[in-house]
Amino acid sequence: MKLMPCPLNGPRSITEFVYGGTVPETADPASEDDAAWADHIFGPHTPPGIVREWWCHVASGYWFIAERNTVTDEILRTIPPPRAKPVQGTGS
Amino acid sequence: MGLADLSPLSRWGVKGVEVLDWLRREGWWVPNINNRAERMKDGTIVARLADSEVLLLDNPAVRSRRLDGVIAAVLPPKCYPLPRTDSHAWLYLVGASGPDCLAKLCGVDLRLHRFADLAVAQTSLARLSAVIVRDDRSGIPAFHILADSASALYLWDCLMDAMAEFDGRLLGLDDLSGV
Repeated sequence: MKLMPCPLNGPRSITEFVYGGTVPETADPASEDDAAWADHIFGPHTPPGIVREWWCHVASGYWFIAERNTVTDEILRTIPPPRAKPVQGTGS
Repeated sequence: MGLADLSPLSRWGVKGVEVLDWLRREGWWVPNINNRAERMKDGTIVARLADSEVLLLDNPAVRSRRLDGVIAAVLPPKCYPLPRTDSHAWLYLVGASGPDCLAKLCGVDLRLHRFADLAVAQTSLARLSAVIVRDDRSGIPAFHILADSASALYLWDCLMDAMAEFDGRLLGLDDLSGV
């Protein structure tokens, strides 16, 4: 059984979670050129390697961020939402 | 061991950034950490599910109606009610074999020395999302189980099947009053 370390509930079976997509990293419109913007909007956002993704623990409705290696499918760490907010550009 | 259907009884949830402080001001014993519960003097259970969410369960043996005050209360800003009576069935598994029985349906370690009295687990039970709260009764291990009411009959059958090898039986409210 593959386990995901939920920041709120502790280790749980991966079947208790749903994937919420990669954490978008917004490009800077003041400094990025058109090609960078086009890549940001239309390009793939699931590159091989370590990515940050939203996951939800369904039983508790708890959203958090996981760092996962998409090549090995290894979950490196999970982060509760308050610490994740600056990554989204919504916090300080 | 036995299984009781407490679904007709009162249960309520509240959610919001200020909900913990508000409940404490209202006199409720709110746990200091998530996934823990407190037992009020009248046996009402206060289960803290997250930094912003609490589940309240009436004492099935007493039915104090303490929850009526919360249900009727005007909540502070950024808080909203979660009327669990409308969404969650409420079963109560009582007996020393409870952890062995639940181990057949749940991946979380609910053995008595790992899942203490008043511990809370939000997990999957028989593939249903469920909240499990240990609430011992007169020293007898007991577990509240709240899960989607639309799947209540399915969960009931699963638990009855799991209890069979432990001589499980149905319990009524009168049985709970006696233990």
